[in-house]
Amino acid sequence: MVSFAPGRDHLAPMRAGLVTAAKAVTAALAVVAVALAAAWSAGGIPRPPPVQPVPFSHAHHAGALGLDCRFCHSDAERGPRAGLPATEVCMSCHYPVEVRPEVPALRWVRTARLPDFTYFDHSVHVAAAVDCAACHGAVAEMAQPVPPRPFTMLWCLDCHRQRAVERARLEHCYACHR
Amino acid sequence: MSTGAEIFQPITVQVADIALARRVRRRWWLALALSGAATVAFVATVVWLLATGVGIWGINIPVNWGLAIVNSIWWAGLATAGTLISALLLLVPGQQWRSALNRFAEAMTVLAVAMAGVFPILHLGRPEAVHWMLPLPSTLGVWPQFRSPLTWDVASLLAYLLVSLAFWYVGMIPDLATLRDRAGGARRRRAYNRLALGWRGSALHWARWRQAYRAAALMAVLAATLHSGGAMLFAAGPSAAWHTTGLPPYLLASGVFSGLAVVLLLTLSLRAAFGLGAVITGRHLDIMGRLLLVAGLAFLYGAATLAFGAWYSGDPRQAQFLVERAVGAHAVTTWAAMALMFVPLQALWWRRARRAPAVLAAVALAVVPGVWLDRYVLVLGGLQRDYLPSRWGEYAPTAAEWALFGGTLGAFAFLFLLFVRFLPLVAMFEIREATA
Amino acid sequence: MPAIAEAGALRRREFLRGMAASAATAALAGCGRSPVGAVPYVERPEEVVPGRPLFYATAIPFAGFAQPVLAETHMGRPTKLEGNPDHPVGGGATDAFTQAAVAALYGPERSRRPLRGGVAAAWADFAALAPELAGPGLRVLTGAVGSPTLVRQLTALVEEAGARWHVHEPGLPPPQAGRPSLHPRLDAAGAVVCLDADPLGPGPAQVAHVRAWSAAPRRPLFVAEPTLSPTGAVARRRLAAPAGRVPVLARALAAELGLGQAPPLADDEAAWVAEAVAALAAQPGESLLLAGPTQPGAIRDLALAVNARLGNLGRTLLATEPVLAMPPGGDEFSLAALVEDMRGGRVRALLVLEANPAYTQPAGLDFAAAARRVPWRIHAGLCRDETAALCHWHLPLHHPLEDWSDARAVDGTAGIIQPVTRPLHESVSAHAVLAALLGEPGADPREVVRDTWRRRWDEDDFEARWRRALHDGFVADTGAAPLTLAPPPLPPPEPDEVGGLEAVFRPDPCVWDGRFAAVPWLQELPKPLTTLTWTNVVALGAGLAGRLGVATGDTVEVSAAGAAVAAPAWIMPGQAEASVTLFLGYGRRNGAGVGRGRGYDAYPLRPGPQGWRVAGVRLRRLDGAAAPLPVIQPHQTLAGLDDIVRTVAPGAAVPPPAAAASLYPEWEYPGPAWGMVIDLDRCTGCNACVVACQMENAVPTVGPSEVAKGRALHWLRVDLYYQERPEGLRTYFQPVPCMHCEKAPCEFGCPVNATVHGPEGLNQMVYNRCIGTRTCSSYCPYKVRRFNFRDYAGAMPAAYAPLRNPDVTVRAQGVMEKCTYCTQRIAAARIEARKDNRPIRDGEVRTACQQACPARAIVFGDLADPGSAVARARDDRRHYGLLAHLGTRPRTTYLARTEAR
Repeated sequence: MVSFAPGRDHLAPMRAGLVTAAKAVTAALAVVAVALAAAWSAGGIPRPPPVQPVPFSHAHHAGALGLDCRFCHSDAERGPRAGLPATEVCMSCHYPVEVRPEVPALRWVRTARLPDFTYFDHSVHVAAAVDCAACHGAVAEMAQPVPPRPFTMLWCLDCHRQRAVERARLEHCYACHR
Repeated sequence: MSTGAEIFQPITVQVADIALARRVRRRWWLALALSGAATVAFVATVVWLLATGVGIWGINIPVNWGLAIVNSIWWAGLATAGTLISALLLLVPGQQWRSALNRFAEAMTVLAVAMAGVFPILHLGRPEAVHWMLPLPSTLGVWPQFRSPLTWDVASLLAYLLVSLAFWYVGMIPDLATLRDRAGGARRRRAYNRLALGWRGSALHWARWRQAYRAAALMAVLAATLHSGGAMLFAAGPSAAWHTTGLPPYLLASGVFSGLAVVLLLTLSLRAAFGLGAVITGRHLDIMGRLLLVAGLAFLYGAATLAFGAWYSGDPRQAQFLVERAVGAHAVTTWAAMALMFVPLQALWWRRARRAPAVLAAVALAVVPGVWLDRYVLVLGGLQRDYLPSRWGEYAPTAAEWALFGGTLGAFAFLFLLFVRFLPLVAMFEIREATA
Repeated sequence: MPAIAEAGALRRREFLRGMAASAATAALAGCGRSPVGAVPYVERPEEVVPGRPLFYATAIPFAGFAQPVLAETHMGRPTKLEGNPDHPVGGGATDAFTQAAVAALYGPERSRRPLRGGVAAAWADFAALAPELAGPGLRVLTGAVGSPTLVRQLTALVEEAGARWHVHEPGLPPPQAGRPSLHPRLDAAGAVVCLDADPLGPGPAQVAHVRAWSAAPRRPLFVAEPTLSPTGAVARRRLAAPAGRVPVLARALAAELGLGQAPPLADDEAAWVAEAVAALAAQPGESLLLAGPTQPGAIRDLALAVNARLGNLGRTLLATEPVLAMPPGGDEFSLAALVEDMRGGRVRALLVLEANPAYTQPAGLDFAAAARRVPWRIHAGLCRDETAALCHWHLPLHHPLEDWSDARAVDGTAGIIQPVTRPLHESVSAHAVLAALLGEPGADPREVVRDTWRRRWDEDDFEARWRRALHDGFVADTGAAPLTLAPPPLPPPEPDEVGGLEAVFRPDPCVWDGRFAAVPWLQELPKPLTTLTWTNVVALGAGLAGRLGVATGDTVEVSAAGAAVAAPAWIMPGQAEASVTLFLGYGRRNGAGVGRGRGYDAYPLRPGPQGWRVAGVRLRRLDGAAAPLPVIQPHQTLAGLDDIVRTVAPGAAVPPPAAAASLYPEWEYPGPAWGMVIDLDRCTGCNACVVACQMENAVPTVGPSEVAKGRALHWLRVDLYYQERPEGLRTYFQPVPCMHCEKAPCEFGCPVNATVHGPEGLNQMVYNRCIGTRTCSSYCPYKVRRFNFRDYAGAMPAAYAPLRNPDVTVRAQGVMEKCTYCTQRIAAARIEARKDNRPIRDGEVRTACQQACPARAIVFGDLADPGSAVARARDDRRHYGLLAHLGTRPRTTYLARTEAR
């Protein structure tokens, strides 16, 4: 057995062991924290907009020309989906004459998406006077807008919880899930 | 193997040699190979299960909990005995006899509770989302449901696992230092040194250590919550077979009962295998036998109370459950469980039987499967014959379920064999202390 | 991960950002998998609002009769059929077959393209060939036909081209020349006696009959029948009598009313006859005696005479001109005549139009051998079935939801069938096939149908009437013309049947004559009186089974007249001891998709195309172990528990339960609080609600082996209980959806908040939160929760994917699911009401089960509104909650069954 010598720090080896363990745990935690922070911050950093089939500028149409969102996304008032304008809607301005070129269907890349198990209805949000920009951001200022934030559940709830009268209903699972 | 010379050998040499001696017996290798094979089968079944889902089991609606839950509460039951021997007796003065048994009983506890914890995860429909049961912040803004007994069951199981692990490890530190000091090669010394956290045996070390070890008081409480948590999972539901406040003590008593039987089995095997007759004496066996008898009688009383309560309630469905148990689909299982648990046990009224390893082993060997069968009847009985006859259903465990059960037995044995081989299986310093 | 990782010089910050972004994308894609692309219209169709369904009125023909429906379509794909509430028949309800018809549209068993000799061919080739085939040697074999356009075309083929038209409808009696259609008016009858008649059972008129019956379901109903039927199940007094004994009962009954001689009867028979006669005679002119189509014509005539005697004709029993058409010219049009002619070489070309004689032919009629003597064999149908396999040409037909046509409902009301989706495959319209034979190969089926109606309507308002007919789904005032019936002469008594064992044949309640065998939802639909799925059995009485040492599941051999079939036995409560029942529709060999090879084929024992009974049957047990049968509900007795299906004497009340205390505070409902009441007096166990629920909520099927394990997924089940009482066998049906308990044990058990109490009282199940601990189901005393033990939704054939209701989440493996009170319908109503700033109106939300129920047994609505239908139903004296003593306070409650003792 190790003899007891006065003056020596007998706890030192034990402390050293504990410090090593603490270091390892701290390092592991730091890695997790960095990963979490990166993921979290991804919400704040807009992703680069995808390449669209037509170099369509929202900044020009909604900003400079001042078109109402619903001019093109006319279903937003009527149904669950805001929808994309039929090509003929584009043509009504760009070719306001009888002879129009044959245009194939456009294949847009969606930027605002929700999981399939979430049922969002545009029309009721429009009826409740929720501004489009509340979710879609300042579209009128962006040439190719992407949502300013990922559509997380907590973010939806933040807004639903501010509706004092309907809060009980809006806060509940079946408000969005079925 | 038990020669006279060994009796006079110092305890330390005898115990430490088990871990340190180079000569590893063929029996150990054989056992390790067998249990290793079972462990591999276990892992393979788990992979299969995770890849295809719980559809490979025989569970259904209404019997949506099957062998996995039976096994889980059975393992959790075994885990209580280690605690009882270690923690409770540590807190009771004048119970030095525990020092011969507590170390491997604690190891058994840690392994058993780990096995108990494996099943609830495997039985999930979506095991990848198991962390939703823990209160972790997320972008969903949803928390666990704190009224659910299952939330608390998970918490108590986790707490029990962590605390019993800590308790076992802290208790082992001085002995790990002994092993370090006696170990041959430099690598082994270094490894044991790491594990011993640089233990030097100074007065200050000992003071700190005792402080930490006394926190074991927590273990006794946790053992109770572990079983109350598990039992509440059943008792909180409206099933006539489960809905009784008697269930938590019932499960606790039967858990201690089965756990003591396993400790007894391990005691007898280690004693025989390593010739520890000087360490684990006839007196130890006698006390263990008495404990087993008391625990068994306590459980018998609990079972009788539940049956009486069901009859006395006047609720036709509770009575129907009793009848169903006694003469229904599980009558054979029920009576087999009763016979295994309580008939051989009666031998332990006699001191000579309590000191005879063969008798003790026979009793314990009957009790352990008996309690498993009792769990089986408890879980299945509550689901197969619920309130609406239209939803009465049957259940037959599949090969995958049996493989998982056998696999946990194998994994338990595998890890325990490694423990026996590489760690101090008896608390040497406590025995030294007690005999000093 | 985006291309940033390949960009050589990788700055740390960008790398992290890229990692996080792709992780976020992966997470989003992982849970949602919504499409990345979006393709808008080039030119937008009117009225389509993406995400909102459109409804079109049309009809589904079944055995020649139109089942009027409203088809719900999402962006051009039909997902659900509802009854047409404006139609004179059914009042918006449907039967189980009609509910499943939309699934048949997508069925993978459907043929993709025309085949000639089994090789892909072009429709144009057939159209070119068709004029050659028309002529005196052409025979057309159809099922029952009621469609005016089809009749017009077939008549033209007979009269102009000299072809002959044969009709073969295995599940129903054929129309008979000179005989009117009879329409029992169950709503007007104060007492009904059924002699082997099953008006409430499955068939084209089930919806009409059940609806009429439900007007006052507690009326005295007396049934004598060999095997338990839905009608017998709700009867006040039921007598199990062999089919061969029913004529004797009929004569005894007639004799009691002064018609003919009384034959000797056994004691129980005499008692039953006396009670039945008393009930009939007590309400002359308002009673009804029905003899089933499975009985000999003489007995049906006798029943008519009794009704005439009681003054019921024209009051409870109406006669009209025949609704179904008959081949013109009075020729012999049976299948047997066709086979005879084919064998004699008198047939040059055979067109089989939506019939399957190679499978449904009776014993001793070797259709296949005879058909091989026909030089040109053409099959037109949805699938390449047994008959198609014998034919040179196979022409896939449109499904009714893809086709233009017309049809008549059971009351004769005509309706236009309009396509609600573009054809999914290279199929053609039946009208186009006939038009090609008539020398108009390019005919547009829409124009063919319009032609029919142009002949009936004035030219000047044709378009308006046409549009109105399409909009309404029917042509007003086209019901069959009423006729006045003269009481028929009393038929001479026939010699009594000698004793011995008889076999009776019944179309299967779920796959009918085999035509629905390919629809998995109908295969998995529990048969109402056995809860068996995916197969058929031989039903026999307990006494006979005991004598032969046969248990349920044992294989038995039934033999008669040289033919034999082996099948699993089923000990059936209420079975006449001298009868065994064989169910048609199984043992399909070709073109039956999932139904192929399931069960046994009973047709080889059937004595004639409409043979319902064969005497002199021998039954023996075959060796071998009992096979496990895919039964939904193995225990069918109440096990002595009297608080499950409650019964009350007429006018009596169910005693209110003791109030159960709760430690939890009461919920508060600022808005509606939904609830449902199910009337056990009205339910006839027809299963329409079960299929409607599956279609609405995209509930997949699990297959027979999973059913046998107890993993069926029906959200709504109809519990079946038998009870032997001193007054006879009692059968109880109890539909059990989720109870949406006020104090729900499941909500309390779930560790992750995946099932929670909603603000409108619903017990909400959140699939995407569920981790599958199944605690909720362990805690549910009603066991209404269903678990995805496997990936059932993913295991369905991909062809059914468009059938899924887009307003309902597809459930993944490992999650619990259950009845949601059709929360997607509540959500739609809530959104509309919110946009208009008004409360949801009573009746605005109708659950799928409620909508389909022909008996109007299910009421749904807002319990908080004291004026709502459901709140009023809760005030009924018969109101009770299932297992109320547990303190769960269910929102789905019941009205007790009334039993006159």
